[in-house]
Amino acid sequence: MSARPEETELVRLARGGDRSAFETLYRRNAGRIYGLCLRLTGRTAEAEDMTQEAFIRAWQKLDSFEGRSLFSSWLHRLAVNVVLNDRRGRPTPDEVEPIGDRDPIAAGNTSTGARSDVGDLEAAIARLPEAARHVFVLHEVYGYTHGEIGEIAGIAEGTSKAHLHRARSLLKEALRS
Amino acid sequence: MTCDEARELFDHPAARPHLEACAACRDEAADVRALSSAAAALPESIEPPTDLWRKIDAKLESRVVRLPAAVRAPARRFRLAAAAAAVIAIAGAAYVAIVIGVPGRTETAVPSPAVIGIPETVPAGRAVPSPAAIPTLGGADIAFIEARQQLRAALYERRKSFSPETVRTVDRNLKLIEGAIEEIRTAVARDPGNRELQKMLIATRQREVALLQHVTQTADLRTRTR
Repeated sequence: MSARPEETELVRLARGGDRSAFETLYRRNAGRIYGLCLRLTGRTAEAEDMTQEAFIRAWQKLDSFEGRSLFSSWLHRLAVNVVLNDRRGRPTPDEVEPIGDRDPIAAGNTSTGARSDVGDLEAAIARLPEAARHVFVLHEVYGYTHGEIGEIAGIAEGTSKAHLHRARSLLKEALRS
Repeated sequence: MTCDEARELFDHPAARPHLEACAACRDEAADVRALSSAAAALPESIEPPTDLWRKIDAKLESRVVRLPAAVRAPARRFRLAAAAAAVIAIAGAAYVAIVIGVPGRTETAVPSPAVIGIPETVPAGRAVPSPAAIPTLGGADIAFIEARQQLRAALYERRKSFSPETVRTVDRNLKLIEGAIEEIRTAVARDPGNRELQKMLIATRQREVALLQHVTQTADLRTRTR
């Protein structure tokens, strides 16, 4: 798949050091990247940090973007790497801290608006154990295959499947209660 | 196939006979499919609560740092000297911006290159560029690399004007400086907020450029006086 001509031009300009072109790319992709980071981390502050880091990394690595995929797809994958690499080597709490109602993801304050089943599901995902949350979000929300998840997260495909199975069980339980 | 095995393979054709025969697993499969559909239907975008662009923009390093026009002047001798001076100016400005944080100062702190006995080459009282023109540390990094390449190429051309012993000494010192730069860069990568390390990196790069500049200028002087 090739990138849209306008996007290609923005990337070309940004590569040459044009920050306003890069800002346009940021404005177009910020919601997608923040949404991804928020779902992967389950925490607003961390999601903001990871979003910033993903765009900074994208700026640094623009030369390696070959234009064979959409810039947005390349950026998405880069953001996944940023979050997962950040978590690697850190102590992983089995459960994330409960997030309050004021947190946009828990309150269902997504693009769809009011608190709803969507909000309940988002909040339940945010409370999953980290590895299960990562796999569930990448596989079920963003359509990554177990092979891709295994490659990015540095785990076996079977491990990814096991995390998904666990995530589904925990979510069903959480949404029933 | 057991219920546990079937529940891990809901969508696999191999699980179909078991699902047809087991009501509990059929219900479970329906729940999983409903959950998957709900997850896939979640909105892809969630707007950040605050605009993050300013923070991002502040952290972006300059991708391209153009050396001043003087660097591209026709006379090679002056071009090299200007390249080194420009690099030192850029690094000095970055140093002021990062370490001192006082725009408009007219002196830059240049460490003494005592380790290898290189003469100081930075003129005192040089005006510091305006804050808008001050590149980040990354920009200075790029400028250093460009100038170093030019100076190294110039040095290579002039090697024959020195004795083998001098060439060996220069090479040994350059290697030492390169090793130090790599070590400091690794430390900066591990601790990007450490200003002392940033300062040390700039100072060490200055030493390398100063050594290269000194040696090439000496070679030029010898050629002219012969």
